[in-house]
Amino acid sequence: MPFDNLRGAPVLVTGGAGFIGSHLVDALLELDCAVRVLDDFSTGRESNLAHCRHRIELVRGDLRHARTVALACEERRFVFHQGALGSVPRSMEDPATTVAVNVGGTANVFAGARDAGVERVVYASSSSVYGDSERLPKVEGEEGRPLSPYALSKKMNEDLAEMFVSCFGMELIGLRYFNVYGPRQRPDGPYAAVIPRFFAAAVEGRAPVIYGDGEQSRDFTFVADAVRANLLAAVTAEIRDHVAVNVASGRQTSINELARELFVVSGSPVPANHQAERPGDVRHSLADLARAHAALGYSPETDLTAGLAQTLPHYQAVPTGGAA
Amino acid sequence: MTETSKTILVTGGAGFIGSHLCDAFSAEGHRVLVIDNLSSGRRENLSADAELHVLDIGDEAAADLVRTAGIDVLVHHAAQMDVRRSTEDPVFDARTNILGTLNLVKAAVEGRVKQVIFASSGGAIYGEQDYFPADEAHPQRPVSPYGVSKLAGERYLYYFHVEHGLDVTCLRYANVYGERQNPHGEAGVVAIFLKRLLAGETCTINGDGLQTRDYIHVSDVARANVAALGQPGFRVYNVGTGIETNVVELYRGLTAALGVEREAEHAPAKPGEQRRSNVDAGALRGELGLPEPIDLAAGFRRTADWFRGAMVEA
Repeated sequence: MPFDNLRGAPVLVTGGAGFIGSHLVDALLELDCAVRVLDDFSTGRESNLAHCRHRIELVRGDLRHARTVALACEERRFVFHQGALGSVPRSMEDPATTVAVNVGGTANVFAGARDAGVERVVYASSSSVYGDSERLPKVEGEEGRPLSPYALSKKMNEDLAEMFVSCFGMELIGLRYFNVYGPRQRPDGPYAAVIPRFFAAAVEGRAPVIYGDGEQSRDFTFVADAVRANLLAAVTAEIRDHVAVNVASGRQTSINELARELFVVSGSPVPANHQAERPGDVRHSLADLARAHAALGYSPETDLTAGLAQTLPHYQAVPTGGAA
Repeated sequence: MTETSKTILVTGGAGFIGSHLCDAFSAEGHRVLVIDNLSSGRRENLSADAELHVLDIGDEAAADLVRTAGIDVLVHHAAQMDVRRSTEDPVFDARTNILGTLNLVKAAVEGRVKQVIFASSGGAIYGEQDYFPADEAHPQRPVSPYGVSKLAGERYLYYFHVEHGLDVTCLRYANVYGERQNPHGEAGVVAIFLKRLLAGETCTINGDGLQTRDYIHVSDVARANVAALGQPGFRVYNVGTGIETNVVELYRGLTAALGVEREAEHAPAKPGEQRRSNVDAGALRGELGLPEPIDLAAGFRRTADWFRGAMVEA
């Protein structure tokens, strides 16, 4: 079996009440892992774990609090570090908090994992580390300069990881997520991602907001693929150096194409409401997946049409709004 | 739910949790009677439609009321609830929590009361946990006289269920916080911190602040009691969120709810204090169909708003 080394293992998922984290928790429970979740519920939601609450250990904690994090790492074999403050625009407004949570928090996780003797840490990085590099597709090793505090915080995570590997001999794998989407991604609040925003608009019969001309492109990754990348990263054969790999679908889709695709899936007309471009956004994004395949055996399994079809029922079932 | 209206006697009904139950039962159209000796309960916690009898649960007069008032359900919340006091004066704790309970339950059987809903305690009954969260089957090893007396209450109720067919629902609460809370109960830290923060005083965190509890808002506890009404047989349910929150996080949450910034000071740990505690309330939600508990940030905001108002009035 492919995930034998992970089966039944005690694991920690930081940010486990969040969108990607909660799906990862589900997958780890499928593997009979003893799952502990650390989340401060600032952006994560208790309802994301309602269905499995009795099967997991749920610890409230802020990543900035070193001792809470260290305690959460105790007696764990694997740590999946998903907790972070997402969103480029949020980081433009409040860079200090983004850096404190994402960089300070990650240092706390790495240090806690080191002190607890954790076998391997898989941590969430981001396609935003490619920054102002205009080369397509994005290949690991060809990063540009970060365009936002969020991107910088993720770049610093990777630098930290490299440092912890060289100083302490830890096993650390970073996953550079490219625009992950799927059920449970929050459509509400000012920092919602494009797909849940579009779905919320479609379900409510509103015109979705497109920033700029809509010809900017992204590589949209279905959450199940991101989750599988985490599991693969945990079990892949011994690693000596720090590794950070792209996790994506390997397909480039413009925001205008996305809007059309959503129209097909949701059956609602989506005339766009174009607004000014947002600072800090990159123009195009597309991942090269050669290293992910070589290092993890990862290849995407769900294309955009299938992924959107699986995501739509979530937004039809869950009214938008709630605690923003 | 449109069940027929019941006559419900809430002991401890003028207290923090009890008064919220009275409100919830009244809102459902039930007739509510209250027994409270007002030792920690307050008359002003009660709304006008609750009928207050100022009695001690150990009194014969209290037993008389239970026997003769045509009670359908006895909701027993009156208790000596201070864990520290129970260690200092275990005899007093047992007299109130064990003998007081026996006095009422015996009368309930004699008065043909159909059901007893008993306020029990998750954290105090399970003691240091073998696993987290503790479900209802977790070994019960109370490490305080208070925990022992609550467990004894459950066991007596089981006896009366088996021997006399009394329907019994034991609700094992996690650490209940919320509006009207006083500083003495199991989540008293919430009230203590809020009062000090509002008064501009520094809060003290005992030990490293990493001891965890499961904090549940009183509105969720009230919902659990309403859902428990009319449940047949002998049942035990945890009432909590399943989420461990340490004191440092709790303090951060409360300062955020109040919008104040103030550092807490640390003092030596209290000897013998439980390190971690949380309960699995899956059975309650699954069997009684309760919604997810409200989240801590929202609960803290409601509680902080109430304390702010109460401080202004005082």
